[in-house]
Amino acid sequence: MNDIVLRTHNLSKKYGNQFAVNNVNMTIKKGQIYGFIGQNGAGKTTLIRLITGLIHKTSGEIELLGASTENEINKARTMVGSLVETPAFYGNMTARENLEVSRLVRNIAGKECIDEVLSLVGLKDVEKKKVKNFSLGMKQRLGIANALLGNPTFLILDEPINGLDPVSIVEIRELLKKVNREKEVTILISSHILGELSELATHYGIINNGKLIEELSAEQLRENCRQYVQIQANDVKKAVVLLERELAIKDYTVHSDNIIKVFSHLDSVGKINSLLNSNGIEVEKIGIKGQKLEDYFINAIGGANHE
Amino acid sequence: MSRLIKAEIYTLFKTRAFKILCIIALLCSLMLIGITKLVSSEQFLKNNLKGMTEEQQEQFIEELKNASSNNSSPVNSSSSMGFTINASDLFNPTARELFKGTFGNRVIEIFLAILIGVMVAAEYSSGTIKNKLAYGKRREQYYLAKIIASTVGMIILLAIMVSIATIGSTILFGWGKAFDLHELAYILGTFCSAIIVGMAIISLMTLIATLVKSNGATIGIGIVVFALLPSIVAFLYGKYDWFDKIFETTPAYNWSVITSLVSSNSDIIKSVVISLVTLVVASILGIMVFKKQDIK
Repeated sequence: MNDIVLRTHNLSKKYGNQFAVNNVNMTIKKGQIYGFIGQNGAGKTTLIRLITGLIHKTSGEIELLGASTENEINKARTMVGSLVETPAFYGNMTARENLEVSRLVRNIAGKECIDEVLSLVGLKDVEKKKVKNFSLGMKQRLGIANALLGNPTFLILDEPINGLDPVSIVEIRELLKKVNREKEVTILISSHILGELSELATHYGIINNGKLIEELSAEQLRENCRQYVQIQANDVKKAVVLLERELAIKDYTVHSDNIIKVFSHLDSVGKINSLLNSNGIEVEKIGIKGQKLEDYFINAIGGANHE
Repeated sequence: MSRLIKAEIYTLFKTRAFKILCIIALLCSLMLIGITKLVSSEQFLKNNLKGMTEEQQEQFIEELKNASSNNSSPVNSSSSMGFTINASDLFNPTARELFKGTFGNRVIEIFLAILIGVMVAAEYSSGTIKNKLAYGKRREQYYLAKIIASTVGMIILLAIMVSIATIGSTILFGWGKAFDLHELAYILGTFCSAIIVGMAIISLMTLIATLVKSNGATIGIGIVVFALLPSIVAFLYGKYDWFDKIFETTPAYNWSVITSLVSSNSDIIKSVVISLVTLVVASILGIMVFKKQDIK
């Protein structure tokens, strides 16, 4: 098997005349934690439903764990754990009983896997409590436990931290990192809580209006969101020499419009300005630039909206 | 497929609505025994007819006796809902005669409407269907597992209703014949025929549940279409040929046929065949609809 866990090719889903998912080409490789970012209604859940086979595609192809025909994909889905939208369980059954139903449906041998996942998500103490008496956070944990049942190779979690308190968010994040690291589980996690995704994801996909706008790695995103000192000066060549010689600045880039981006010395803006001015260089603009993850995301979908 | 059936049966046994239906079935059978015991007592009737003269009482009781012995068509009882005490002599019933009455009229339809509403339609409204279909289960297997698990539920409900009432009435009134293998075959044959007609009802209700995706709507439509409507339109039976032909294909009519004391073997076989055809056609239609459905 190659290292592609999920690949979609021009995948589309249309409701009436409206595209919910529009020609999406997504690639998730083995071992990645793929943060799937998008606003409410952007198409995240629809895409997840397409991958899990809950809804039928209008066009395009899905390749899941090396399988590409409908029958093969169905077999591959037995190795996928999922939590699609809100966790749904039988309210009159206990956490353990609900997981037992899932165990039977998914043909997982041995009941010890139930104990294992209940302990993992911290629900062992309330395993005999009826799910109708669970808080939303507890239901989310049970949803994650359900997805983890039977050691899946690919985990699809749709907004799994909704309703969780800050402590639980940290616990779930650490749990997901652990299963990714120790069990080599590839994870697709959708969310609109960007700060949380940034703590977890190794790769990102940004979706808006059903279109996948951008896929990038965490390093690329960090690079794109990196803060820097932006200098606009009349003599860039001279300025660069001065910066290297006088302030030992090595981490910089030169751009058109006489712009220099310095990725270090963020606390030395005044010093840089004085240095350049005292050496006869006219500094037209100087200041700290760069964007937060939120800004990057807003710019990305803003760009798409203005297409 | 077997694991899917096992999961559905596990769910069935954990469903509160099913447990309540079992208790109701038990109460129905106990009430049937009690009421039969009271009604079959001439003294009890006379005590309740105190406003009448002795002569009027005798006349009324004679009419009751004639009414019970003149019951010659299986459809006579199809317009009624509940339980009918079938006996050639109302004051000396036998458990053998009462046995078919223990299956009830439009009772199992109401039970099944609730059961299918909870077992099939509620999976859509609660979203639990996602937990099963997202793991590569073939939709036709899921659909058939639902029908099989619902059938298991129906068999249990029928078994409670029929067995308690039959055992109770045998103790109170006697079986009415020497109990031999032929009698056992009669009991099993009737029970199996009822299961097949019941499966036809289940397949039709599952189709409705798949279309409406709401437990409330499934229960409502199920009760109206399979219990109330046949009771309302049954008076037309025997008046128009075209109506008779349609009515004789309905589960309500076929249920009446297999639970009637006066049905011939050929009537019963015809009802079983119609029910099997209904079961197959409704299941195929249901699977076709379900396979095309988007699960939201």
